[in-house]
This record gives sequence, structure tokens and C-alpha cells, in this order.
Amino acid sequence: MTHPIATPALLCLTLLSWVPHATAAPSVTRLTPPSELFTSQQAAPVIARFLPGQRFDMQATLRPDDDSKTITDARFAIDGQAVALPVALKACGTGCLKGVPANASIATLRALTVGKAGVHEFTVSATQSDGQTVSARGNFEIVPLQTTGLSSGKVKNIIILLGDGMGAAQRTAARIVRSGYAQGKPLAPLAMDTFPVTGMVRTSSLNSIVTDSSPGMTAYVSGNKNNNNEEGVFPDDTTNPFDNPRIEYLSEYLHRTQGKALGLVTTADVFDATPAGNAVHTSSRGAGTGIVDQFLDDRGLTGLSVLMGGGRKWFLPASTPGSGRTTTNDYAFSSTDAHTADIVKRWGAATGALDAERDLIKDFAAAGFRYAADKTAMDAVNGAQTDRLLGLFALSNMNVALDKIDGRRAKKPPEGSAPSTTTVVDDYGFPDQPMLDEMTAKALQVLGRKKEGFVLMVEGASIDKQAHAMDTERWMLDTIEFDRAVALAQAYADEHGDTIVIVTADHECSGAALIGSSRVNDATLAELGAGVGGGVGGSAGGKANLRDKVVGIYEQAGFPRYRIAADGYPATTDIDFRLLIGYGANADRYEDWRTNAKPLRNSGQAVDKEGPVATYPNTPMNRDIAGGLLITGHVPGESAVHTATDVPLSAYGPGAWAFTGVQDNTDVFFKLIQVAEKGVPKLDVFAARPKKRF
Amino acid sequence: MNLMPPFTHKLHAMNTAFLGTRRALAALFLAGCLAPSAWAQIADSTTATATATEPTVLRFRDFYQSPVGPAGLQMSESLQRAHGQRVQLTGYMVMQETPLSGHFFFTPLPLTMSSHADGDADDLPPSTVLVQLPPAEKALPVLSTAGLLQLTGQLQVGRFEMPDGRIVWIRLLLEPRPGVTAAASNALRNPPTR
Repeated sequence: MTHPIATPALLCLTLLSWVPHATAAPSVTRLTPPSELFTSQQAAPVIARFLPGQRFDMQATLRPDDDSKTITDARFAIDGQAVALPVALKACGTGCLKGVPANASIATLRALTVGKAGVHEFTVSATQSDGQTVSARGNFEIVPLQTTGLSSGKVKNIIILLGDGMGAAQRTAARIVRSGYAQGKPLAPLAMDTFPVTGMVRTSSLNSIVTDSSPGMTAYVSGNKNNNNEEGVFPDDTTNPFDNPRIEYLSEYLHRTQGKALGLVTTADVFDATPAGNAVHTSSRGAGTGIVDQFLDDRGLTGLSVLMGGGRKWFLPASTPGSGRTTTNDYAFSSTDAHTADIVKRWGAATGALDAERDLIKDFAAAGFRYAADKTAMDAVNGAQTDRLLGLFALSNMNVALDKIDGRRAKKPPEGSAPSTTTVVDDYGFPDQPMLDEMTAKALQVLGRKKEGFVLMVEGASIDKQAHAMDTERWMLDTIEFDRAVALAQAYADEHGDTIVIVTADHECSGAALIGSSRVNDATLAELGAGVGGGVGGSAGGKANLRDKVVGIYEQAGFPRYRIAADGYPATTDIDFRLLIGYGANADRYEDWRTNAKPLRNSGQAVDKEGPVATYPNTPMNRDIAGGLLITGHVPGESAVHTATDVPLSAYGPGAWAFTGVQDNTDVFFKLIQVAEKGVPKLDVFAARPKKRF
Repeated sequence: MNLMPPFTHKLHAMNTAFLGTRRALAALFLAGCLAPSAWAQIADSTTATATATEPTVLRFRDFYQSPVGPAGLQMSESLQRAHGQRVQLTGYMVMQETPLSGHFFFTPLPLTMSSHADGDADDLPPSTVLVQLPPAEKALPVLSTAGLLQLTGQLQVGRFEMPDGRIVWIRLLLEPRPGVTAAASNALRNPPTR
């Protein structure tokens, strides 16, 4: 007979002694490439996709079950077959993110390629110092290219024009301002309007519906989602921003397989996410010194031949005034520790060095790059005889189109427009900056020499930056500037016949909305906003004046007409009955609807306490404060933010028809490689259920 | 709170209507502190400071040679001479996406930094100055202050690396304002709720 107390007690004791052993085991806390199979044990959707032969890294973070143990071994297998490469196994020590213990290990395989099409399962298996083992599985897909049913041969050149933050509203506003409408018809299209194919793009990143410019760019050129702030890499658990698992870029793949050249043209600081996200792999879009160093050091991987924009501060030795170089954000891989040494060995990347004092302009010159510090120098470069060109036209971002144009008009007023007193470009010290279309023309001359062809990325960067600042006129003019570059790319494609051009955006910025136009002329608008309290009688400003008397909705909006000067830009943006823009993703601001005024020539002087204060208003809160129409924002702070809205993508040239429909930003990568590597698929537009391959 | 000179009460009503109470207080705080004529009276009567030298009045556009040229910036002689000196500079506080602590950027034109989106790819001019708040206020968030500001402090010229890795070349160590203590500034930032 069983003892009434002893048996249950014995059972409890047995259970108690059994349970701790069952839960103490090593674990896999991260598996890369990322997959739902690993995260949620669901085989779909497949997150990571690669071309046959496209390089990528595989990685796992392995945690022992207590402080005293370590991971002694790790192996990877794909579809059950062990990967026959040595694994770089590195204990975290102090080099991992907060919360990851020092005895955790990172296991990495660099620069793998898989040839067979289809979804592949991969596993990591690891052994702990006490003999316990752990394994985990994930999946990825190899997307095959179409080799039969092609209507024409390979495309030689790819031009990607990226309007940062440019959604449908920004395009529409630019058309209205640039062209004007008559009885509902635009008097002229934008260049991007004439592209035969426009589709919609889903822009979300690996970790959010609202992306930023880093994964916003890299999705297009790597075929994979990245985390916000990260470019060309999957996330990892180390603090080093340059050691993340890499994904081969469009530029690297086409340079490696076909010898194509790469050109990057932007109005931003060249280290910024959109240009860098075509050539540099990092989990920190802000790591400027390392990013620009790798532009040069890894030109053997990317084929970088043209680099133009702002950002000269990264290219000056650290001790030169104006330099932004620092060892804090520089890169240097180990020659002995396989964790980073394998990046050098397997990818062929440069080792790098912590060299804040490096004279990068001199090093670019030594590598055969012509250097242009302003438009005059750029014009002097004979594109037909130059293979490599570096242009650095500002310390950080270049000035925006409105300010560059005003600077030119101050020197030489075009016919029909009043001379300007603006000196923004003078006050920045860079009075001779090229326009985006001028930079694009020069880039095409240089890159066009490459017989293997080229990839060119042209960015209208400040459409986004000025939309953040909710400075309507400045982003509208930047979009017009961007469209002029689009026209040049289109003309190039027409001339050569072997070039595909796509115009797209990384995301939309600010939730811009074309709400209508002003019901009053500019003089009245100025009076209505003439300053509460500070103005006469205090009866101006506020909702009653600046909203209810001004905003013309529905048929009251009519057709705003901007007079375009000979230089292609509005003679003035302060027209009567102007276009009005609202912002759905805005921060608090004051609106008076008028162009933020141009600065006076002596604005740098100490304040004359009696006289009027010289101002360049250019921020939401202080620029329109006199007008007093407070618009409460949806977001805190001072800037409008990105939105998750789909953006339009327009395509031109052979292969354009693949870009219809609603597509993922990662789909674009595969469509571009298809036409560059194999040729243009025949498109059966009349098929009842057209076979969409991506 | 006795930190507001009388004339700023008039501004208060106006500011509150447009800016909300906290911002109004901030605008007031800095306006009050920085309007020299009002402060001069209060400072003389409430503090016993050593005779300070008259500050050298500087202008942003005198800092560097302009145009910049093909390489880096060239500091003017007047800028280099002003290193370590007490100076006065008029300009605008750069508006930040999220409030900074203990410092702000100062420029000859009003600007916004969308640091989350742009980081070091910014629209700041080369003559940008990093203004560092006095020790009593270093840990406190800086409140956005619109409009032209006139600041006085010690100029530091030379390379300086900020904790986030940004490099600045000119700094203004803001003078502690008479009568302003950490407790007082803290109280202004946290007005009693109704």
C-alpha cells in the first residue's frame, strides 16, 4: 500500500529535481537572414530574398544558459547540407548591445551564394562548453531570373532618380507650379509625367511601416528590407556599426558580374543615407568618417566612378577647420579576428584604419578622380575625357534650389524677374553651387564612357528635408529641380536605347496635401498676416484672417498660375491666389502662407536695437509667428515626419512595363537585375491572369 | 518668481495665447534674461559681480573667409583673437526635433534640424556655434526659443567633439545669468500644474 504522504512528496521531489535540468539549455536569440520561420515558426511570408549568386552573410547569436559556460562550436547548414566554410565564432565580451551577455557568441559566415531557385531552409547548430547542443532554423528564397520568353536583350545602363520624400502630392504640386493649368488641363507635363509606366510602391522597412531614407534606399538596391537607420545590412547584436551581416548591392553585383560603373549624385551631404545606401554597408547611417572612407576604399567592389554632392567636411583632415572626421565613427577591420577579417577575406573589402587625419580629397585624386569644389570647376571638367569625378560643393548639405537660384539671380537677374537681395549661398560661403540637373549632365558624360555600362543614382534630397521643415516653396522648387534631372535621364535613354530609367521615392514625407489655393492676392495676404500684437491694431492674423478669409477650397481653388522665368523656375513664389499646402504629419507651426522671406544682405550684423531686425525665416515656429495662424501638429517637436503612404514609381525605357501594379520596394531590385542580366520579359497585357513573377 | 522683469509680463499674455504656457515661460525666461536693458537694472541691484569687461561684439559672417574655397575653412584673425574672450553674438537658436540638454546650436539664420531623419547631413552653415549652458543648467532640457537672441559668454575656438561624435569648431560658453540658480531654472521648466 502506498504511503499517503510519502508518495506525493516523493513525486514532488522528483518533479522539482527534474524541472531545472529541462529548462537550462543554450539558446539561439537571433538568426540571420531574418525569417518568420525563426521568429514565429511560420514558413511564410519569406522575408529575405536573393538572386542566384548574390552574396549575403549568415549569422546567429548564441547564448549559453549561464555565466560560467561558453559556446564552443557552431555550424550552419542549408537544406540539410553543411556549409563547407569555416565559421567565425566570436564571444561578445564588451562588444555587444546592452542586454546581451559577455559570454554570448556571434557565429558568422561571410559572402555566401546560393544558386538554386526556391525557398531554402537553413539551420544553425551550436555546442555549449558542457556538451549541450542547440539548433534553430530559418528560411530565405532564391528568386530566379527569367531566361526564356524575352522580348529584347539586356539593358546596359540603369538610372535611378530618387526624390527623397516625394509622394504623389509633391509631384502634383510641382506640376501645378511649373506648368500651370488651363480649364483643367496642364499646359505642360513634368518629365516624370511622360514616363509610360507608373506603379505604386510599398515602402515599409524591416522594423516599421514608417521607414526612413536608409532602408528606403537599400530595399530598391539590395532586394531586402533593412531596419530604420541601417543600410545594406541585417541587424545584429554587436556595437560595431560596420560588422553587420551584409547583402550585396545592385552596384556591387553588376560591377562584379559585368564590370559596370557606379555614379552617385545628390544635393545632400554625400555620406547621407540615400547615396551611402548604394555602396556602403553599415548599421549606423551616421557613421560619416567610415562611410566616406569606404566610398573610396571599396570602389573595387562597387565600381564607384562619380560621387557628387555636399559633405566636404568628411573629406578634410580632422585638424582642418570645418572637418567632421573623427575616429569615433571611422572603420577598421581586424586582420586576425575572423569576425571582421572575413569581411576583408571573403567580400574583398578594404581593411580600413582609424585615420581621422586622412586627407580624403587627396586620396581620391591619387586614385584618379578629378576634383570639383564648385560649379565652375565642374564645368571645366571635360566629361568626354574623364573616367572618375568627385564633386564636393558644400560642407554638409548643399543649399536648396530656391536659394541657389536666388543667388544666381542676385548676380544676373533673368529677364522678367526682379533682382534678388538673397545671399543664403553667400552666407554659407558656397556661392557657386551647381543645380542637380547640371550635376546629372556631367555625371552622364563621365559614366557614359564606360563600355560595360553604369548604374547612376540621382537624388533630389531636399524635397524631404524641406518637407520636414514644412517649407512649402523650398520643397516645391526642389521637386522642379529634380524633374529637370529626370528630363536629362529620359533624353539620355532616348538617345542610347539601352537604358532603363526609374523615378521613385524612398517614402513620403510630411503628409503634404494640396488643399486649394488662396482666395486673396499676395498684398492682401501680407496684410492679413501682418502681426498680432506687434502689428497695427492687432486685428490681423489668426484663424479668422489667415484661414477663413484665405483658404479657397473646391471650386474656389481655381488654377494657381506661377510665372516661370527664363531659368526654368518661378519668377516669384509669392503670386496672387497661390497654391496652398497642408501637412498631415506636421509638428506645431505658425502659417502665414507666404514664402519665407529672403534674407537681407546685412543679416549677419549685430542687432540694431532700434532698427528692424534682419531675418531669414526658415523654421516653422519662428518664421511665420507674426501671422499667428497656429496649426497644431500631430507630432511633437519641430519637424514634420515621414508617412507610411505608398509612393508612385515611374519607369521609362526597355523593361519599364515590369513596374506596373502595386509592388514592394524590394521587388524593384529583382526587376532591375532581370533586365540588366538576362533581358526584358515579354509582357502579355491581354492575358486574363498575367503571370506576375515578383 | 522674481526673475521676470516687469516689461515681460506684457509679453506674457501675448505669448501664452500663441505659445502655450510652458513655451511662453521659456520665451519669457530667455527674453527676460537676454533683453540687456531690463537685465542691466536688475543685475546692478541684486548681484555683486566683479567688473566684467565689455564683451567683444562678433558677427557670424566675420568668422571665416568667404567664399570657402576648394578645401576647408579658414578662420579669420578676429575669430582667432576672440578665443577665450568674453563676446556677444546675435543669432537664432536652431530648432530641434527633440529637446537637447545643456546645449543648443546657434546660427545666423533660423533653421530646423530634423536630427532623427538627417543626423549629420544637416543644413547648418559653416559658421554654426555650439552654445553650452552654464553648469547650473547643464542637465536641464533646452526649450525652443524663437526669434533673434543676443548671447554673451566665453568663446572657445578649436576642434571639439560632442558625445554623439559631431565635431564643432566654435563654442560659446554662456555666462551664468545673475540670479539664476539650478532650482529656479528647474522651477520655470516645471510650472505648478493647475
